[in-house]
Order: sequence, then structure tokens, then C-alpha cells
Amino acid sequence: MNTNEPTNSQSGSRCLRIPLCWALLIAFDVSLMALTYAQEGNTGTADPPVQSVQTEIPGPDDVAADVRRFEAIDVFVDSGNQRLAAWQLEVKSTANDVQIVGIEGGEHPAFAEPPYYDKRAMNNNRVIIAAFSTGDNLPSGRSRVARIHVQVRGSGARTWLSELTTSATTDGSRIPAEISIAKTDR
Amino acid sequence: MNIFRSRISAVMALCFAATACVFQLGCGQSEQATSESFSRVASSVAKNAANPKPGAVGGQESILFDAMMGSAVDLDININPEAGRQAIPIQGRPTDPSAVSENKGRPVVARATFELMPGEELWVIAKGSNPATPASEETPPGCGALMAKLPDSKKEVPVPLKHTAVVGNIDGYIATVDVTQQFQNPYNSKIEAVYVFPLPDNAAVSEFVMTVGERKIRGIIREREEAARIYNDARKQGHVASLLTQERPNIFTQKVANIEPGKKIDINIRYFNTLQYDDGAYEFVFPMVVGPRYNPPATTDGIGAVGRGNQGVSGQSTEVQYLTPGERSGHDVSLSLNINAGVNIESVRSVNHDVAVKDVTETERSVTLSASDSIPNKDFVLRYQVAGDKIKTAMMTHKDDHGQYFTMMLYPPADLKKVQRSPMEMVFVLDCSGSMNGRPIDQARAAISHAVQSLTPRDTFQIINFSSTASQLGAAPVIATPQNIQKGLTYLNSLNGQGGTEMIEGLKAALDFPHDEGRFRLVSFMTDGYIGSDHDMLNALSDKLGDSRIFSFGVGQSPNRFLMDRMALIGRGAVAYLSLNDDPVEIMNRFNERISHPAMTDLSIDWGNMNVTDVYPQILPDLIVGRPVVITGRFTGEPSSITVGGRQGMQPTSFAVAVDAADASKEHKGIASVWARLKIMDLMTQFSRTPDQAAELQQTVTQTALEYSLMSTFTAFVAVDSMSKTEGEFGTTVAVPVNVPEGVKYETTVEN
Repeated sequence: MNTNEPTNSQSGSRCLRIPLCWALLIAFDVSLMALTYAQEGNTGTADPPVQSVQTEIPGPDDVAADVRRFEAIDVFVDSGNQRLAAWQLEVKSTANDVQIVGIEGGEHPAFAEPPYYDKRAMNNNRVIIAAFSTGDNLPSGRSRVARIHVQVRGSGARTWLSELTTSATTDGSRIPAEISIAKTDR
Repeated sequence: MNIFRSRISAVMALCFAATACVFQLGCGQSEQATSESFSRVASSVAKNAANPKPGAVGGQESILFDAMMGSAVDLDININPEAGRQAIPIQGRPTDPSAVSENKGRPVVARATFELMPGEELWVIAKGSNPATPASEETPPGCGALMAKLPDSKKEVPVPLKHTAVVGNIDGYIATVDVTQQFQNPYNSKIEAVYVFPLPDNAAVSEFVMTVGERKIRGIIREREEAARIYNDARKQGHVASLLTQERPNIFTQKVANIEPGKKIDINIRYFNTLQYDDGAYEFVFPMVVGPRYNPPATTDGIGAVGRGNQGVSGQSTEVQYLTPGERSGHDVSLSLNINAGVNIESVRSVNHDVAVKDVTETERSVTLSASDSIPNKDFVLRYQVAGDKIKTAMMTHKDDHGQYFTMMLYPPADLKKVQRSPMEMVFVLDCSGSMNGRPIDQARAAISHAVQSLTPRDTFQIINFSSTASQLGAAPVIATPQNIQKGLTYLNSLNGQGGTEMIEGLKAALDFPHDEGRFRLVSFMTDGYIGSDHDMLNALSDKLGDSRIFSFGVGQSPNRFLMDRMALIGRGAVAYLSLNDDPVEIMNRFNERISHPAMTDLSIDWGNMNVTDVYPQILPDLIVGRPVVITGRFTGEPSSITVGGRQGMQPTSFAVAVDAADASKEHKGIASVWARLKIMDLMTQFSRTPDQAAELQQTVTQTALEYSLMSTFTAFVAVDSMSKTEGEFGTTVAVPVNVPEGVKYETTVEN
């Protein structure tokens, strides 16, 4: 072994001997990066935290345990004052006696087509759906983006979990938005 | 996980499909009536129009009026008030139409006056009981139809399928096809429509959308039994629902429940498939009708062929109802096709239909089916010739969340044409069943006649015919001398079409005799393939094939392409189609060209830097002159050039296949679906041949189909509209009757 070669520890200690001006410069850069990151969060390029919402969907109490009924669940996305161009979300029931039997589009023309679902993620009671629109006419505020038709066995309420994993504008910028679901009124 | 990628094309295609749909208004259910009393009725004959079953709601009483010269027919029609609201569809020329009078709770009289010309008939069909409570779910509903038969026209039968709109987009040799079936209830009570229809046997059906009014509901792929249970629950509870099941790889059943009178339900199906390439031309096929299948005695899982209203007569689990030659339905088809061949297109030819072809660019064409040729009684076959010297074997790839896929069309090396074939033992097998009677057998005879006359004295030949049994020219193949050829032609001309289609008998006769070691045995099947027991036939072929090669010729306007294609694949030969509009000499010359040179055999592939798995077909076929082979698989790593090796005669040979660099940036969504469909087909072949592994194979097929959202024998699409709940439990089931294929005789093929 060549003893003139610096060891790892020697190398590490040498790294610590940075001139003060360099240290200040590095600190400034780190601050600048943090600031930029924060601003991007405000303008939508950072990923907003994924929110998971738990919702109780009521059901009739006067049906037998083996009776299967059909109902629909509306899925809403509220993008505030931002125009919603793309979204992806997951909806699942905590109960195993629920079957998804159809997926319908939303109320706004931009999302009227039935959204595509992730084939591999599709389960009896779980679905991941997504849609986007390339048009200029886009919804803002709270808008029904999809309707999920389900078959439920037995009586009583079911608990549903919903997650909005992506919401974005036409240029692909992520925007904060809220998801909610509700039983569809016939 | 992000599933936005590749949605633009899908959404655009959907929009395109939607705009291409032609919604037809009018349902033949105009509620009209007339006043005025009788002047004269020439004669009347009472008969049952729809073969009512005892106690069935669909039982109808019918009266037929035959007109004398200048007859005026006035009718008083008593309507049973308990039967609910009665619609009186009137077709013909009522002289004094007015609204039907209704009076709930009391008998109602509708009056109509007609003027009939000699030879015209007036049918009055009245329903016998309450349509909302059918005794049999399979009985057609009372439609209260009042129809006049016009001179030189067929009797129009109201059917719940008004229109089928087909929009295809071809990119290279992969087609994306949107099929929209527009159902509409022409009756006066709620119905369930059942339509048995064909699709290409290699169609990877991956999307299903039901449109109720303005609302579109995407169907979900489920295990078949589960989908059927959901559908039946929805149907019984009065919800609009639809179910798509697969009966054969090329035969599907569409059910739509709870269609209220006058209401429309659209079903959109999307599939991908690869096109065949044959001697410089690509071929796009859209089958339009299921030909009448023959089912061996004692079978119940076949495809029955029965007359309209004769549900259950065949005893088969799936039945197609056919219109009589004197009937027609209002169901028609529109079709448009956008072709982007990637190379210059030299010519476009529609084999069976009138089309308009528009040149978009040198490599693109737009094709539209003529409105005057919209009766769905023959396959749409479009062949487009491309600049041959620019066609090269190349690989296309696709990457998605599932992984990476490739597909390539392997073209035989050009120098195959320099080598001459060895002596042949030619066996021609002619289907002489009832469905071949008439023009189909004439075409087949002409083709065999030309092929026999093209043989040389080095060759031997045999002619076998089968219908209910099989017989043949002689005990053994004979040398192709001029005398023997003449003898063969005389025998050929004595054959006619009648009886059943015991195709396995023909197969046995063709393969169950000692092989002449000095000759290459080649068996040519000339048939429409109208059998319901496809898999039994294919299994028998696998068992008996030996060293023989099978060339299958699908004869007629709508042959069973699944059977023909699979026979050729299993038989390591090739398939060709002989439409009634084809020149049999031209088809057989192409056949002779193929068999005049040895194939490149014992294919093997060096995949280079690619780690390749799951290649289909798993057994690589021979490469025959003029007939490339499509190979699809999965891989990891970077796409790279590969080398295909094999033998020409006894000599080893090889050629390289490059990745299509210009294609690398393109997206080919269809490749993954096409691959999964091929995998399923391969597994299903094993399923039918290895019963001891059936459970395991079924599970693998189901898993693959669910993962790729594909139709299969064990999966189905279901869609339920939970928002719409119609009154009553469920409507009467009505099958959509179809025409027998052009050239096929109803009398010799359909059970009544």
C-alpha cells in the first residue's frame, strides 16, 4: 500500500477545510434552491400531498343480506379557481361486497367521455381512473369528473376511500385540488 | 403509477368514432290507425307468423290478406286492453292513416284502409297476452306489427339492431377498429336484444362502452360467470345493462337488457388486430355475418342455425336466427377505413363490396363503403397492394406499464423462388355439404380443377369429398397423368352440395393413409368451414397431421376464418380465401406459385441483445413464398437487430431483421393487446388438447385477459346503468335475425 496516498479519513477532513467565502456561497445557493422549491409549490409544479378521503355512503337498512342492488357514486374534484385539465384518482370500498360495474364520464364536456381505468389495478371494489382534456373549455371549482356504477350486496352503509393522485393544468403543472364522493341521486 | 400516457390517441379515436356514428331515427313503430269501414277483403288466411310456443307471450295471431286487382282492405283491429298499450307499426301504403285510438280498460278498435295491388299481401299480427310478463324469456315479443309486402321487395322484419358503424384505422399492418352497434326497440314493450355476430378471430377486443341517451358508460372486464351474474341481476331489476361474451374466437354474443319501446342503446367495441400480407397485398377483413354452422349429432355446445323465431330448435347453447330469403331487416352497416401503409400504396380493391377510395397521400388512403351495399350478408374484404420492393422485415416495439413488446412480419427470403419443389402428393378435400350448395361449390370445383390440371406426372393426387360421410376418387392417390387428370375432373364435376358437414370424416380420409415417402404430401381443404365443433376438428388435425402440410381455402362470402386460419397454422401451411367474386384461376395460380418452391423450414431466431420471452406463435411456422409470418413477443433490454435462421431444402440459411428506427418514436398501443390475444389463443389451443391441465390453463387465460382487459372464452365485458331503472322486471328476449351469407342457401342450412 502506498502510504503517500490519502486515506478516506484524510480525504474527509480535507473536505472540511473549505474557505469561508465558499461556505457562504454554498449556503446562499441552498437557500435559493429552497426558495425556488417553495415558489414552485405555490405555482403548481411541485406535487401536492396526496389526500385520502374517507366517505360513508348510506344504504338501505331494510334489505336482506343476500340482496344485490345497484347504485352510483359521483366523484368530484374541486380545483378552486384553476382550470382542471387532467386528473387521476383512486376510489375503493373498504367492504368486499361491492362490485364496480361501470364507469361513466363527468358533467363537464371536457370530461364527459368515460375515463379509462387502470386494468391491472382494477379489482371488484377498487378502481384507478384518469382523464385529461386538450381543449380550452375546462372546468374549475367543484365538478363531477366521473360516476362509478356499483353493485352492493346487503344492507347498510359502505365506507369508501378516495385519493386524488394527480390534478394538473393544460401545461402539465400540478395544482392543488380536493376530491370528494357522494351517492348519486336518481 | 401514471396512466395519462398514450391517452391522447385513445381519446381522439373515441371522438372520431363518435362522430362517425350515424344514428338512425325511425323505428317502424309509428302508431297510426285509420278509419273507414270495410269495402272488400279478397281472401284471408290465418297462420302463425312467429311459431308461438304454448303459453308464450310472444305468441302472435296473424292474418294474411291476399289482394285481388285494385283491392281496398279495411281492417277493424280489436286490441286486448289487458295487453297494455298497443303499437301498430304500419308499413306499406295506408290510404288513411290516423292515430290509434286508445281507451284504457276497454277494448279498442283501430281501423286501417289499404289499397293492395295484385300479388301484394297484408299481414295483421296481433299479440295474444301481456308483453310485460313473458312466460318464456327466449320468446320474441308481440310487436303488433302491421306490414304490407310490396311488389319486388322483401318483407321487412322489425329487429332491435338498426345499424352497425365501423371505423377502422390501419397503421402499418395493425388495425384499430371501432364498432358501434345501434340497438333500438321497435316493439311496444320492453325487450332484451341478443345479437350473435362475428369479429376477426385475431381481434383483441379491449374496450366496451355503452351509451344510454347522452351518457356513456365504460364496461368492465370480469370473469365470464361473474359478468353474467351481474348482468342478469341488472336485467331482473330493470336496469339498462349490456353483456359481451365470446362463443368462439370469431363469434360473440351481445346482450342488451331493458330497452324500452322506441329507446336507443349504443354499444361501442374497440379491437386491435394484425392484417395478413399475401403476395404484395395487405388484407383488411371485417366479417359481417356468422354463417350457418353444422353441429354433429348429440352435441350441445355448438353454434346452432335456426329460422327466425325458432329459438331452441337446434339444441345448441348458442344460436343464430336467420331471416328467410323473402325477409329483410332494416339493419345495415356503414364502414370507413383510414389506411396509413407506411409505404406507397399501388392499388386498392374491395373484393365483395362497392367502395369509394380517396387518395390522401401516396401512402395513405381513405375508404368508404357505398351506402348502396350496406346489407351485412358478406365479409368486407379490402386488399391493398403496396410497393413490393420496399417491403422489408422490420420490428415494431411498444413499451407500457406492463413492459416491452415487439411484433414483426417475417418475409421469406427472395432466393426461395430460385429453388424448385420436390414431387407432390396432392390431396384435395372438397366440402360437399348443404351450405356449399350452389355458387360456393362451383367456385371450389373450378379452383380444384385448375390445380389438378397444373400437376405434372411427377405428382400424385387424390380428390376427397365429404358431407355427412366421406368418399374419394380412388383407393389411393393416382399419378397425375392426362388420363387420370381427366378422370379426376369427371369425378369432380359429379359432386354436389347436400347433407351435413362431418369435416372430421374428410380429415380422416385425407390423412389416414400411408404416406408416400418419395413425395411431399400437401392437403388442400376447400370449405366454408361452417361447423360448430371447431376445436374438435383442430384437435383431430393436430393428432393426424404427421408430415403433411395443410393449405386451407375458405370458400364463399363469409367463411369461418378462425377455422381456416388455425388449420393452416397447425398444418404448417397457409390459408387463402376464395370469394364468390374471386377468380379461382388467379387464386390457384398463387397457390401453385407457393407450392412450387420449398419453404424455409426449421426456423430459429437469435435475439441478439434482447431478452425475449413469450413469443407467439410458440412453434414457428415455415416461411412460404409470398406468405410472411407475424411474430409477437415480450422483451427486456434495448431493441436490437436479430437473425433468423433455418433451412432451404438441406441447406442452412439465415437473414437479419433490423429494428425500424423510423418507427422507434411511434407508439403502438395495439401491440400489447395483440400479444395478449395471441397468448390467449395459444393457451386455448392447449386447453382443448390437454383436459388434465384445463383448470390451470383456464386460470392463466383468465388472468391474462383481465390484466389486458381482453375478451376471451372465460372473460366478458359488462356495463350497468344503475341510474336508469325501467318498470317491471325484464323484457322479452328478442334475437337479432340475420341474413344467411350471400350465396348460401337458407333451405339447405337452417333448421326450422
